[in-house]
This record gives sequence, structure tokens and C-alpha cells, in this order.
Amino acid sequence: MKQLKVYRPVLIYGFLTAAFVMILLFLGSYFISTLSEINVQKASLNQDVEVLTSRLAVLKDLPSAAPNGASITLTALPSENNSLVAVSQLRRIATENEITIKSLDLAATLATGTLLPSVLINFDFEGTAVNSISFIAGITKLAPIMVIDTVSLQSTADGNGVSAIMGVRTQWAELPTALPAITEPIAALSDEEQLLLSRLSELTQPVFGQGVESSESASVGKADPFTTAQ
Amino acid sequence: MSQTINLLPIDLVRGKEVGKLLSVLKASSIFLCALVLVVAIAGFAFVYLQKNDLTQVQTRRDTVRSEVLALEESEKQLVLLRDRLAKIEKIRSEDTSTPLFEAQKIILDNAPVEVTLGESDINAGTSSLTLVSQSIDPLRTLIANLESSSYDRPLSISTFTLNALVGYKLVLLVN
Repeated sequence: MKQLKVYRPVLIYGFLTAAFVMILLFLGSYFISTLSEINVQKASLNQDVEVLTSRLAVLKDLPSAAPNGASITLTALPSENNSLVAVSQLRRIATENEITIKSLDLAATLATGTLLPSVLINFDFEGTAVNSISFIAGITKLAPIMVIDTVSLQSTADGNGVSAIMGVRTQWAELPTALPAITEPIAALSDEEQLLLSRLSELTQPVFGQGVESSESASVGKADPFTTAQ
Repeated sequence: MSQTINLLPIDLVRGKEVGKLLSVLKASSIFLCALVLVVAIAGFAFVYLQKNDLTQVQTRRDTVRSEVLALEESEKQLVLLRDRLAKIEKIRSEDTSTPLFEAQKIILDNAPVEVTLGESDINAGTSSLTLVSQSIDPLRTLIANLESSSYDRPLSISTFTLNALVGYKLVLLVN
């Protein structure tokens, strides 16, 4: 007992020293884990801020980068079968080029695999050689866009004109239905996209309203096709 | 001469080494106590500042996020625009007939007025163009014009015939 009394202060200070070391270790590990957790959250938030800021810049810039872009592209490639507008456009430039369309028929093709649904417009026409070439060239500059499928052009027996059998294909594609998640980065339109858009804006637009789908019609008058990923 | 007198019982006297250990332990416990206080105060202050900073970043994120959400209509336009452009580009890249027609048009644009169009066929990525001329010179001029023009597609002569009724008939394969 007497020995214990002698060593008690040693034991007490030893215990205190050990306790302080333990407290220091605990505090150290607590601060390290708390700060690293805060840093992880901060890095993630900073990344979000960076993505959102660039997204904001792209979206704010869109009206000046591509005015009426959605409307122009939707007219060029509609969301529904627009073959009547295509026929109307064909007749319009046929008249402009003094071409006589003698017969015309339509054949629809359903979408298969990666191929878009389309309508093949087959027609016969007559006109002068120069006008016929100008007419065919005009078809490639029409909205909705039409792809030449076949052309068989032959000069008439009198040699004054040509008669032709032609097939052009007009396609359509459903509207996209999903928006990217808000934390996903989005890029501004590339130079290639801008160039294509500028070419599309030079296409001959339909003159009457019912075939023209504006960008607004994708969300106004119809159910909004988009769902937002969060 | 002064003498050190120990009044404690002998069994309560600490050894020198124990005394040294005690003083070391005393000093280290005081030092550690101070260190704990300093570390705790500094650590909590730093954590507080970092949390404040985190809250500010969070507020900034929420502000930008709400601004982005306010522009959802623009985002729909962009998604729609990009979707259409990608599909139109695909349609154009798969279109083999239009480039062939454009090539034939370049040939016709370079043809003198004496050269007339006989036939033109475009189908499944191949095309042929028949040109007719009363004399051979306009056809020579056409070839010369094409050589000096920007025409750069493969072009081959399929047949070249002379007919008393129609004159020279040149069939070109345009690919």
C-alpha cells in the first residue's frame, strides 16, 4: 500500500499523458475524416457548378447561335409523315421550272432498324432538258428534305425535250423524348452543326402553314415529348 | 554545513529515476493538454470555416441550377435541334444519288450548247449519262472544260458511237 502511495502521482500523470495522446489521436482522426468529407462534397459541388455554368452559357447563347434552329430543322425533317407537303413542294418547283408532272404515286416504308420511316414519291414528268435538270436540282434544295432514289431521264423523240421517271424519298423521325440530366455537360453547336444548320436555313420552305411544324408546336398544342432526367 | 534531512519514512521515499519519470510525465501531460486545446480550437475553427465555404458553394450551385432550370425551353430546343441535325446528317451521308446527280449536272454545265442530253440514269449508287452531238468538236471541248474545272469524281467513257441519224453518242459512267 505504501508503494502504491509512492507511485500514485506517476500513475496519475502517466494516465493523463496517455489520455491526452488518445484525445489527440481521436481529434486528429475526426478532423481528418470531417475535412476530407467536406472536401469531397466541395469538389463534387464545384464540378456541378462548373458543368451548370457552362450549360447556362450554352443555353443563353442558343438564341443568337441558332435563331429558329429547331423550327428550321423540324421543317427539314418533320416528326410525322409530311409527304403531302413534299408533294406540294414538288409541284411548286415543277411549276416554277415549267415541268409537267404527269403521274405521281406514294409508297410508305416503315422504320426498320436504324432506317427512318419514309415515303417514296414516284412520278413522271416532261420538260426541256435545261428545265428538267433545274427541276431535279431544285428538289435537293427543298424542305422537307428529299433524297433522290432513282432518276431515269430520256430525250423525247423530237429531241426538243426530255421525259423522266423519278423517285424521291422523304423521311421523318420521332421527336427526342428525354433531356439529359441537369448535371451532365452539354456542348455548344459545333462548326459542322452550324454549317449544316445554315445550309438547312437556305432550303426552300413550304409556303402554306399546315405542313410546317414550328419548334413551338413540339411543345404547344401537343403533349410535351420531353421528360427530364434528374 | 547544512545537511539535507529526509523526514519521510524510508519506504515512502521515491527513487531518483522514479522522480525523473514523474517530472517527465508531468511536463508531457501539461504539454499534451495544451496541445489538445490548441488542436481542438484550431481544428473546430477550420472545420467551421470549411463548412461555411461549403455552404457558399452549395448556394452558388443552387443559384446556377435554378437559372439553368429556368432555361429548360432553350434546352429542349437544343436537344431537338441536335437530334434533327444528327439525323439529317445521317440521311445525307447515306444519300448516294444526289452526289451523282450533282456530278452529272457539272458535266452538263460544262457542255457546249451543241451537246444535248440523250439519257440520264441514276440508280443505287451508279449512274450513266448519254450525251449527243452532231460533230466531235463540242465533245472534245466538253472534255477539255471538265479537265480545267473542279470536277473530281471518277468518270469513264462506256461507249462512244457514231450514228448517221443522231451524230456522235457518248455514254459516260459517272461514279
